[in-house]
Amino acid sequence: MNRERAFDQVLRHWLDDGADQAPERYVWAAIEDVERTAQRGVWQASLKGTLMKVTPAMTVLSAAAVVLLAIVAYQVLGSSRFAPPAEPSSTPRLIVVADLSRILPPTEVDLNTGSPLPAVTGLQALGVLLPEGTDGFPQTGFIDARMTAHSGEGGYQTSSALFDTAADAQRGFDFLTTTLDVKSTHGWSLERTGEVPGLGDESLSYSGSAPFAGLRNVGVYLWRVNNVLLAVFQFNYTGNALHTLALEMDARAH
Amino acid sequence: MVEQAKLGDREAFTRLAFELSDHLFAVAHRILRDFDAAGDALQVTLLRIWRDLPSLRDPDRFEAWAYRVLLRACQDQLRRQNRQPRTLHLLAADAIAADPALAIVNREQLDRAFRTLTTEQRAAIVLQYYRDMSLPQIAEVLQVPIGTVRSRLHYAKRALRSAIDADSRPTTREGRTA
Repeated sequence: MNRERAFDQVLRHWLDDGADQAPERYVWAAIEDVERTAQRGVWQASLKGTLMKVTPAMTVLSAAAVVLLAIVAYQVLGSSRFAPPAEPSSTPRLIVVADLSRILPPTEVDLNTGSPLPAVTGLQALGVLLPEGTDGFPQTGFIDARMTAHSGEGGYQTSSALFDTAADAQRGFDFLTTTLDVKSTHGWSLERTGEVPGLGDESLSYSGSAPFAGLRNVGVYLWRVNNVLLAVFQFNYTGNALHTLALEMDARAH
Repeated sequence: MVEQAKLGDREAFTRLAFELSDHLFAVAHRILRDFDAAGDALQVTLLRIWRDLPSLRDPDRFEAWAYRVLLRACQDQLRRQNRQPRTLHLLAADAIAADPALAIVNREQLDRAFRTLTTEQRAAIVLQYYRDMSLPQIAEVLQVPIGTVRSRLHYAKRALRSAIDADSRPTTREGRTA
């Protein structure tokens, strides 16, 4: 028992000896990120709060009222008056795995051998956006992804990732943007350059460098079209095809 | 302050962030054993706290929730840096009983031994021995039953001793660790 206590004591002393003050630069960096980040789920929380105030009796009464209205409407107007809609539904179509490669630009050819570069699939295809690994990536609803490989020391890489639902893709978008926002000595050193008008349902663009891979002139476009995430990554390259490539991919995703 | 930040008040969150940051950083530094990684974990944690704060139902549980967010960030850091330890084969109980005198355990040995622990084990050790949290408090942070906390602490300390022992006996070390 004494040995046990002595070991506990050693542990306490050892743990006491360490940094106790957070360097302010990390706190300010986080606060800068906060300035650009919306809180999540405020409307869900308020909707939930509203729903919780609805009593079972109110729910039953509301349902009964809806049924009654439907019966009255049917009897008054007659079923024949309900004409089919003139236009097809405007609901966007759901993208499937077969679309992923089609959305991306053609796979590049290895400059040395002349043969097409191998396709990258699965979570690995998001690897370029997750320099520190894909372990933390929320895989709920993740189906598959594709990435075009690159053949030179600079250029573009493009990715498309398919999710079960638009909400799953939204979670992936949030995760990736949170990762891209973090500046670190072994990760990104990017600045948000804002949304890209006309690109997908939500979009963000970045520019800066990637210390983890020693890359300069990095530009990133990340956007979501319904249940698919799309990205263009530019590095060691000063061309201006980033925007054009993104618009072409976006058009193919619609 | 938590309530205000929860409602989207960025100034309140800034004050909260500065109030929290030392505690969170100190814990992250002890779990990760790396200054920069702890800073990155703190930055991610503060951002996630801001982003997900509206989902926190009971502001009285903010501290435990914030530590939980921090531990997830620490776990991400360890995974990303491929620092997740390999499984350590525990020594038999009699071997531990014969471990070297604690007095000769030095900081480097403890540091090396600590790095062999899983994130969950590290968290349990740091929350108990550094933050002086009780078992129920640790259970709330880790969201596991108290029995699980007790068992994590037991195995963590046992693994620490095994690693220290193996470290002290380099000739037999290879056969004891994975």
